[in-house]
Amino acid sequence: MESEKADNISPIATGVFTLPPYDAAPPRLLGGFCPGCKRYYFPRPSYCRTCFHQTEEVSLGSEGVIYTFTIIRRPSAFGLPNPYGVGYVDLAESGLRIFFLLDPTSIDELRIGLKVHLNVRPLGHDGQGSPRLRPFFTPVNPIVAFRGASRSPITLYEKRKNQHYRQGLESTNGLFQGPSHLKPQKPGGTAFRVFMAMLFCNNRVKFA
Amino acid sequence: MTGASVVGIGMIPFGKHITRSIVDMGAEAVHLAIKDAGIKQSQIEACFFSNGFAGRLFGDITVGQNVFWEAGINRVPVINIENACTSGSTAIYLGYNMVTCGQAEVVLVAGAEKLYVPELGLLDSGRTELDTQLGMVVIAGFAMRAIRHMNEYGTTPEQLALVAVKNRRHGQLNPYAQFREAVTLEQVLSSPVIAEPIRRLQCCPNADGASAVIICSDSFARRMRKPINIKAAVLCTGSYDNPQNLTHWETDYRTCRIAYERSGVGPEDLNIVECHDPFTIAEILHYEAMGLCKEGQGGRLVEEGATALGGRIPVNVSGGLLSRGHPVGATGIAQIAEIVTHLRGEAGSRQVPGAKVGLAHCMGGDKAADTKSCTVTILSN
Repeated sequence: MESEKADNISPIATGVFTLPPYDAAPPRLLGGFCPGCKRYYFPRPSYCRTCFHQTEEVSLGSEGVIYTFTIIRRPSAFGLPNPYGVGYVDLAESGLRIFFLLDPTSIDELRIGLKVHLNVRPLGHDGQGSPRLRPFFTPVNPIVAFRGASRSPITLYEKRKNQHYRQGLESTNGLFQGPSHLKPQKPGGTAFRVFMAMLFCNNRVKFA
Repeated sequence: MTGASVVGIGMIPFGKHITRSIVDMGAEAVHLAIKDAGIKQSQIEACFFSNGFAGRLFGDITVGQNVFWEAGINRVPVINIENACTSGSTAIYLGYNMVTCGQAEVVLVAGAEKLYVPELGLLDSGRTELDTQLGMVVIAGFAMRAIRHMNEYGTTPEQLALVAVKNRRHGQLNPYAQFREAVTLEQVLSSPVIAEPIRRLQCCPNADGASAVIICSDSFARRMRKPINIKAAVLCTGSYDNPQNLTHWETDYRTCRIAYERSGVGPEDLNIVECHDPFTIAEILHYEAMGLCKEGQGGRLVEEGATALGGRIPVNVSGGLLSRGHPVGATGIAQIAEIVTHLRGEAGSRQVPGAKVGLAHCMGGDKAADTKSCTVTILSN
């Protein structure tokens, strides 16, 4: 048996991401490449859908940008935390736009245009209760936020990590619950909201 | 090639039918459709049955034969159809094609579904799919489009909510709808979030239900009461090109365009529309695909009231999936039954006055940032 805990847990699928250990290289996505017409695919089909050439397995790298997302606030059939985030990510290397799980500890930070990279860890189960290794995208640069009145900058990443260890993967119950432009606006005055909006939302969603 | 018309419709009220089976509900809808058409079972030459989840929820397969025999129909070809939310409209498409290509004079299309089962949870499109394993559920595909649409076109949470307010108002007038009470904008916007930005009252309820229609050839229709002509029935599958633009479904536009081309009518000719509104954002995106407004203007269209009963082009006068509920296999056929009711002028208090041309639209499944299936059926009296 392998020594690392994650090594004992089966991945949700094979041929989709590189498996641990990640000592030599960080986790990367795997996909298909058609040497005939130079097309990328994710996940990899056996044959190119355009020219029927046999595809090759290639790395699709680990970097991307969130194109759109949502946060699901209902129990998952696969034991994912409630809430959890999913989105479409534009992959930097291949240009593919793929559906993917997003880091459930980062749902506060999700927004269109956010740079993310691949991570892998035991997360949820296979639908029958056996734990599974799942890939997900996590923010590259954890954002800096101000904590209420004290205004002392802390990184949500640190806060998140602490909370994660303290409370498990329960709701983050902290500065934000969900993206600031979507949640019902109760706390804070207009100035606070506009400030948060400028900080997090360089998009055109209207504010309530 | 002959034309085809709808000459009989049958439907049971959608809602909780805890003690009834799929077969029981389906057979009742079939009985009602046959009685409405005024024909005999023996005149039916082929049967199509649509259902989405009986195999998964109850382990029941080839249910159509059970339903049709319960209604006294045997020997003729029976085809069972599953195509996600478009299961019912796909069955209509197949029945229409069978009649127009001259293989049968009279066909029966029925759908039934039972979704009020304990612990159903959020629907997904298959436990073995990679997307499902990565957290995809049906609502997520709509929610992610909503966020992108809000970002690109400035669509507001209020505009999304107004779709639910309008359709629930319509649902008050429909005796077949599950929800018969109106909701206010405030109620919708304060209901709990299911998937950002979609709230509970912006999701269609599950439902048990059944619906059936009888389709026949032009020559047969001449002997019938108030036949409603099917001008086009179109089914398309996603392109799955990558990358996809998630402010819409390309397949939605493509299906509508083909249906308009084949029927010779355009969006300006429509008097009534039934479209697939499992979540409010879907109806807004379908307005745009159907050409009821320009791309990006769907939110404004509902805000102006153009799609309400009494507006320029009433959409989901039945209350839509949001009021009726969504017994998947029965939905597409119920939409056709609703349009036929209006084109016959028999819709009572919810009648669209003088309706001559109607469009029924449905969409189902999610794959590679596109839909798996989309149907458009255009009817006229």
